[in-house]
Amino acid sequence: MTAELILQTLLSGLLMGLIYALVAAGLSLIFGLMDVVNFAHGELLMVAMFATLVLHNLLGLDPLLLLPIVAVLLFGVGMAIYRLLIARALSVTFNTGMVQIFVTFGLAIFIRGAAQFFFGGEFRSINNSWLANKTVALAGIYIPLPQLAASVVCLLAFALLLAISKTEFGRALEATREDREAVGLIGIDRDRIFAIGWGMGAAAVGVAGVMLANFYYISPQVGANFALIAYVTVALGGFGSLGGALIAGIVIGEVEALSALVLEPSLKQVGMFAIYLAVLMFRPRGLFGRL
Amino acid sequence: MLQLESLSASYRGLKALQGISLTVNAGEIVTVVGANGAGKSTLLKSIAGQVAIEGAIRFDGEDISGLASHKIARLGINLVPEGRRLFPRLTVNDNLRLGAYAKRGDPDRFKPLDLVFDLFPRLGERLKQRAGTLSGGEQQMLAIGRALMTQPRLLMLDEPSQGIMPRLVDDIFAAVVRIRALGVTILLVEQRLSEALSIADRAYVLQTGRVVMSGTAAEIAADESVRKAYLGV
Repeated sequence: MTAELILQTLLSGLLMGLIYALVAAGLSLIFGLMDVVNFAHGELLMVAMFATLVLHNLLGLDPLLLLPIVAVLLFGVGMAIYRLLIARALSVTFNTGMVQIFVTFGLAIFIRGAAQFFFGGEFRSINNSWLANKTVALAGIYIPLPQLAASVVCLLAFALLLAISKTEFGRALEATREDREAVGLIGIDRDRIFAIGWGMGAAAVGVAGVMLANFYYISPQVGANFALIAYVTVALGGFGSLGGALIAGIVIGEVEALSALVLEPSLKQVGMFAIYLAVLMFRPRGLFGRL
Repeated sequence: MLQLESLSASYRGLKALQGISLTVNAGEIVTVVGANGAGKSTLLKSIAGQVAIEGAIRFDGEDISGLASHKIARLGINLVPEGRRLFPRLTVNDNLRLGAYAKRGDPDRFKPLDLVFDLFPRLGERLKQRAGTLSGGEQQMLAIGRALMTQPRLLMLDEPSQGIMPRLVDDIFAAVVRIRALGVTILLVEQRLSEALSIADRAYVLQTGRVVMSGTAAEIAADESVRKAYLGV
């Protein structure tokens, strides 16, 4: 095992980890805000990837140019999911936990089925983007440009989420998270805050989806695996913690890459799920979670 | 200003209020007294839109029953709830400023801060502190301050003296009197009968969800049966 190989592995783990982190940030944001686990989160990633593919084929625009369009589109999708489904699920008076689980679970199956219906099950990819198949070489290490761009964009998205949390709206978001009844008493429309929270969570995963579409296969099933990793990431980082999602995403990316190197590629996910079990047993609230 | 017409409400499956009729006139301090479980808190929550109700609630003649709580708050009715319900992880400053959040776009929306710091100078000294780290009395001051930031016309206070050092209770009641002097109408729910009656103009006595007596604060204070039932003397 050469030093280059290890460095190469660590770097690719970091690049992938930043994408995991952004996917997890969207999930964590929604959960932290309203205690609803979005089981359709992976499907939102898939929707963003297909949206990128379709718009790329239709308009001939590069995924990088489609980034703001798809982000806004997913923001709208997230808001619509809240207004049409989640708000209703929250207002039921019996079996609330079950209803909240199955509403997003059902949504996931619906979106996946719809994608299967319209696009078929085969794997697709975008091969003629600006970044496709380009690499930069740095001291003997090759960095694929699409992955590098994706991780940079994910970091920027994190910075944006952090900046939003410092604004007055961010304070209102935090206040709603802390006491959803009390915000109404001071004139804050919590439904609006929740809807925007869903929009932001979906837009975050949307940004990750666009960048992923640059180099990853696109199929109706693609979201499931990323969602699974996102749950592990959020559990490790702590539900509702933005910084936790970032650090945990990188950890998970590295663990995955190193597992593939040390064990074998087919066992690359063993390490991260071992971490998940360890978190459950020894620190259920995660690294930076709030009790 | 505020009229309740045969208001009924259920809370957690129990009939908590039955046919309450009550009036608050502009500029008054009206207090609602009664034993634990008489429905005092449910009454305030009903007016604030947090509890499903039957009957009518009129504010300036308009029926506001069934409105979402944030809409009622924007009309100028503000509840300082039981348990204060601050945002514990946010700073004192953020808690106060969020009171003006609904008025975004109004350049003068932070103006009531001066009033809040004038009423409660301690809050001004603790701006950067998290609300959850304040003492009970300071939290109550912050809860009232946050409500004042919404520029209420009717301020409803639910047990402001609860869980507070006796020395600070007087400060809170003195602040309520000063807030009324600024033109804010007050609806006060209190367990401390004599303090509440001493600052109120009129009072209602609530028992198991019904109004059993009403009158001027002096009349209620002089009534033997009220004193027996709620003061134990």
